Amino acid sequence: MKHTVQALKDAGLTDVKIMIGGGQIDENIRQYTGADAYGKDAMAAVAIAKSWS
Amino acid sequence: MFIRPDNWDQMSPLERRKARLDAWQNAPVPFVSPEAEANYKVRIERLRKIYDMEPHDRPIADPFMGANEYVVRRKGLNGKDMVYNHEKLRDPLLEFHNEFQPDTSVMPLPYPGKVMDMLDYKSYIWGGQKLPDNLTIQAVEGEHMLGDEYKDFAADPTNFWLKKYLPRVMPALAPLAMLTELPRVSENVDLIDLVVPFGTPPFQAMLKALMEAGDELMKMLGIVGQTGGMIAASGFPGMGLNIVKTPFDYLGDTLRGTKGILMDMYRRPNDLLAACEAYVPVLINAIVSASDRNSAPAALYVLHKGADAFMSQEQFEKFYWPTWKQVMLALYEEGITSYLFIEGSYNNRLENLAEMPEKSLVCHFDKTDMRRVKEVLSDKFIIAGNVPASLMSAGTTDEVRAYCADLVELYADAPAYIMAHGCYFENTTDEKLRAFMDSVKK
Repeated sequence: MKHTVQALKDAGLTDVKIMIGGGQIDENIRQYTGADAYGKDAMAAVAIAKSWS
Repeated sequence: MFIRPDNWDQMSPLERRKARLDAWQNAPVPFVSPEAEANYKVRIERLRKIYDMEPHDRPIADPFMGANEYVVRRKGLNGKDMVYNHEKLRDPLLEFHNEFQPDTSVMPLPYPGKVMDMLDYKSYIWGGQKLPDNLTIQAVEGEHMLGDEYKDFAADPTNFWLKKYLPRVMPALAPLAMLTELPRVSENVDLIDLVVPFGTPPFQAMLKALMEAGDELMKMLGIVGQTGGMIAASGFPGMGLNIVKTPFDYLGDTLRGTKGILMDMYRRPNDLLAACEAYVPVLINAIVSASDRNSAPAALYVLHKGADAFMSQEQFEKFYWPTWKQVMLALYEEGITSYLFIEGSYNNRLENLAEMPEKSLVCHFDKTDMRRVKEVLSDKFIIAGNVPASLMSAGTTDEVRAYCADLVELYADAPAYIMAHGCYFENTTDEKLRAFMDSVKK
């Protein structure tokens, strides 16, 4: 996950926002991977995505 | 093998529980030294007091449900090694136990890689096969029972498993579908139907493949058994668990898949309920038989689709809880403790668990609020959990230490608490694992 986030940044996709998810994802993992946000579940993920649009 | 005492029929559930725990605790171990024997006895006595919810010197820290792969990964071994190279695990495991002196033994699960290859097993992919070597194992869901087959399953779960499910997930076992219906074999001429598949080339090829897989399995079990035996002989007892699931999870994880079972709650509710109910006696018999065979005093449920995020409380109480509770109550009557590994969160389900009799459960939590757990369940049941995998992977040692210290303080006056992880992780550091294990020793 950390590698993927870094690869997206390295590819110059700086205007793309990255959200991660899964049962064990929390703020610790979000910071570790460098993602912009995590969704606690699918509904939370939809709410975050809407707030980005 | 657990031998029931002669007065089993007159014994109460808790007396039966005591008999099973006695058999587990007193199983003979050929210790490597008097020191190892003394250490083993202190450790298993402490664990026994926890199972009995009686006063003891300190909680234990059980790294199994978190660090069971890290204990060999720390020496450079990978997922493929855990699936295929069981002899390579022995030295790192013995070294880990010697160095860390854990309260209980800890090993990776014994994945039989060569056997899975030989039978072309479809329910998983694994390191060295379709996964990269660094990964161990990944479940692959499939619809191994169609929606309109619920009635076939409910009519005879064992027959469905034997003749439909096994051929679908292991094509090498497809000829099992040729077997006759066993309950009608009663008269001499019925032997024709019983034996005729065994005379056909496809069935004989299957038997040959199974015998070859059996030879491989015996080699692997010999190695794994020897390693486990050496760990016990060095002074480290195991928890004594058989892995099982709830009726709903066998149907959801294994037969219908997540999408299928969640839609079935709306589209086929009566079929789903009938299948869960048909499962109850089959599952009770299967778990009691396994507990008698290997003397494990507890059944370890890996719990999946009843978590807060997968279904509403109303759905849980309609589809998930009633048949699971029936199984656990039957096990309680047989003296078998249900060890619940509660993946995800169960914040809405704690009052349901509280319906179970005292000492019938070990409740091991992942994302559940441990303060509410303390209030609702800790007087009746053994509680374990819930150091996050994210902390073990990405947190600092100080953060791990603080999280564990908070749990120790919270459960200081609870009758029985086990420091444990909420989920397994691949990577951490020795320092963080030590902080976890030392947290109960202060």
